[in-house]
Amino acid sequence: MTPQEIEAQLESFLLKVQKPGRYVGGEFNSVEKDPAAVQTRVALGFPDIYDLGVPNLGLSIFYDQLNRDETVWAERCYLPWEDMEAEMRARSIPLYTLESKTPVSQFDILGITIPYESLYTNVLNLLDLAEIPLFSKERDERQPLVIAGGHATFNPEPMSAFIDAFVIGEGEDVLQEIIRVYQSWKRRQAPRQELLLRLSELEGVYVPVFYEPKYNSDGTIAAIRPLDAAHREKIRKRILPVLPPPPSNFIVPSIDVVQNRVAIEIMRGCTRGCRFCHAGFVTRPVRERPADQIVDAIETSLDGTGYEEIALLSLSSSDYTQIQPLVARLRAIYERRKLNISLPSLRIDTVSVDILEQLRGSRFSGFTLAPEAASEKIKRTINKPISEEQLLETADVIFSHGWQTIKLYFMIGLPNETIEDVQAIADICLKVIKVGRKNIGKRSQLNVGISTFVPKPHTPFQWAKADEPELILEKQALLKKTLFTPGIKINWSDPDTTMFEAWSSRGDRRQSAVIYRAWQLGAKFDAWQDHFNKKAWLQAFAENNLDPNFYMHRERGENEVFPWDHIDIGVNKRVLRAEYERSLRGELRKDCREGCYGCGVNQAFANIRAENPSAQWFCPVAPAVPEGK
Amino acid sequence: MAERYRITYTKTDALRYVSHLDLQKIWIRTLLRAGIQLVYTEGFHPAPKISPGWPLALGWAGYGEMIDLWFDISGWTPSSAAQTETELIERINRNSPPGLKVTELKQIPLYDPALTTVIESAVYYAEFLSPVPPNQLNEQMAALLSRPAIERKRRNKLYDLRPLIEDYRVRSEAGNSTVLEIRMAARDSAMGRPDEVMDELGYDINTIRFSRVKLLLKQNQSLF
Repeated sequence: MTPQEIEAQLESFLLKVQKPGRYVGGEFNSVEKDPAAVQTRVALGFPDIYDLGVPNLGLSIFYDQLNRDETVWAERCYLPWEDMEAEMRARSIPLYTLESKTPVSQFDILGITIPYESLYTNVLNLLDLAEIPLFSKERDERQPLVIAGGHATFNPEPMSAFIDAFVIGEGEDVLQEIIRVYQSWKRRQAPRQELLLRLSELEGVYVPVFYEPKYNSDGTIAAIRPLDAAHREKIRKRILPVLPPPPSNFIVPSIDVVQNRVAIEIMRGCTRGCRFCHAGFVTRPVRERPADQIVDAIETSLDGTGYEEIALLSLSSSDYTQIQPLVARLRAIYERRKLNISLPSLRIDTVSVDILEQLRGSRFSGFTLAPEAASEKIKRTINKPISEEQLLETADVIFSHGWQTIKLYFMIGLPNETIEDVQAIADICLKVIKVGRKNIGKRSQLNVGISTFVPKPHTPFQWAKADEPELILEKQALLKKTLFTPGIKINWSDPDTTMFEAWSSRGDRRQSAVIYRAWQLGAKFDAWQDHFNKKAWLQAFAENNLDPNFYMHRERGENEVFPWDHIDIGVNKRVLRAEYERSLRGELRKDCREGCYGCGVNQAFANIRAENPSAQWFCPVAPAVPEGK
Repeated sequence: MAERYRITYTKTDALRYVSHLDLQKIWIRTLLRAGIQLVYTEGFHPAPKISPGWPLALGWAGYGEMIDLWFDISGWTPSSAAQTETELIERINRNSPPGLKVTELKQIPLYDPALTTVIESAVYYAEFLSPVPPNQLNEQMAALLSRPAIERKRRNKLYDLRPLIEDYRVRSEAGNSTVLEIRMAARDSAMGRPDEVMDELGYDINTIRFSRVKLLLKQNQSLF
């Protein structure tokens, strides 16, 4: 179909679907170019609906960056919701980009972001709607190069059959390199295999077709090796030595989406070392943006978008060294512009309350604190030692300043956890609401979010098993019963969704067949709680002679080869193992700003650090000897 | 100091699929981008003061939509009213998404009645995407208007469509599709819809492209 045909078709039925504004583009700041004047056309895809895709910061960065290149036109596509999908399929309308309504299959490159595992079947659905063969090996020079990145791709193996090349780590630089390689390949009109080969030579690019896993008789992996010596043994993630200025040309959707705001990353990486935290390990080292640059970016973005809300993003905002002066300067901005400011991931201490106190009068919505654990034992297990006094004192300051609602996040299902540890969560919640009652009486409200722990690759808990569903239900029941009291509202994660995350996040290459089969059986939108199709997934596992429990509930052996071991995040596997063992012994690990324990990241990127003397990473320059042999 | 402006604008292209509520957000963001100081309501959650005309049905293009906006342009260098108005139009159009374009802007007294109380009627175009002979349409319209009452149901409530139809004209130029121009009542208690007229005549409304081209105001707008 031509873009004109697609537009004509859309007009004939769009009013039948919910929120037709999702499917027409035309947003302020979206980029139109003359297709004849560019060399390379890139479709950036988010494998879920528009409402969730537009606010995605990663794609916003690439959209802005790629479109600054005059040889490139980057457009966007999102997955249609079910009603729209049915209409499109009934009329054989392929997935198209919002800017030019061009079928995605006609693009040079399709770049998909996969921030979390529950988007796997959606990626297949996106390719299928785009009329692109799902399997990488079935595609040829006529189809777009399909690349993917995002946090879930730090374990690329489950999706390896569908993606031609993965970007491991930060994409800002490597995406430019991919474009250059693509352009030179296209000029030469060389075969597709050659493009894949050239891409695999780029630092941080993983082309799965050049690697092969070998399995042991018990189903574990013996090794994942390159097919020949021309390929690297390990693919090291890419990082930027210094964060570039944030994008300023955010797309402003014409309809309401989940987050209608300017999002500015103030810092990347985290030094805290919470052992469950995937982001905390894969985004090392810590790099900050200068406060001046952040303030400039905020002003420019607000001017350029007209948004009335900003979010300052990082894994631990309180650790941003310039947080106090930054907040003071923000105060001046919000007073002038009547802004809403969101500052997530604050540490639980009164300093954080001071920070937020400064933002009073801005339309600050409420306090979210994430102690994650309540009992002393589990705090040590996960390495997040926030004392009860600290939490209660913070709650007291919050309520006494007149704020009415606190949101607390906890996690259940952690290694070594007993029912007493869960009871401790209930106990502390009751104490917090008591503090609220004392200060402001019945107006005080506590919202408790209970998530279930899922062991993630590249973390110390990658060896751990996920908790049994029966135990999870029992633990949730205890909390629901004990916290059934006025003033407390409790939310928990659905055990099926947790189960899905648990087998997907540590999946291996064999799971590609499972994902494909589950998609064929109708699995999609797995992240949407009422959509998760457990039956389809279990059938898909069974038909492929795989057992989900092998991935979920099995404690891994000390020397087991993981499906992601050839992906190098810079942190040593030895160090992760040592952290796991410390965790089981209940030993804490200090914030690495207080002393390097040689996780490896500093050595891994020593060369790029040396090339950028101005890069301040909060890693001591002379690293200690790695421990934990 | 607050000043009130009455603005006529288009709502076309992709913006046709944007709801009345979302369009108000678009207005606010456009004005913030344009650097035009808005006037805010009093209270704990101040909101920009805007007052739109009647909503346009989703999917329909608007060529003469109207909205009242309150600006504080006291910081601007003094110039003639005409210059200020040109500058405002220029700034808004530079910062609006495709499909939203101001065609007219003029200052009105601060305490004039709201747009929705002064809009009397609206002119719509109904463009037939499949061929319809103009005489057939003319005859059908004449027959329809000769009825003393056209009883219909809207959201399960009975109403009479007849008094809501004020005037019409069938237009058909060689090589072009047939277009019905129809003026309908657009008052709070009497809101005429051209798609209901077409439905009454037995046409499939999915084969007709509707647009609203003009809102007609009471001649004497001012209370004084």
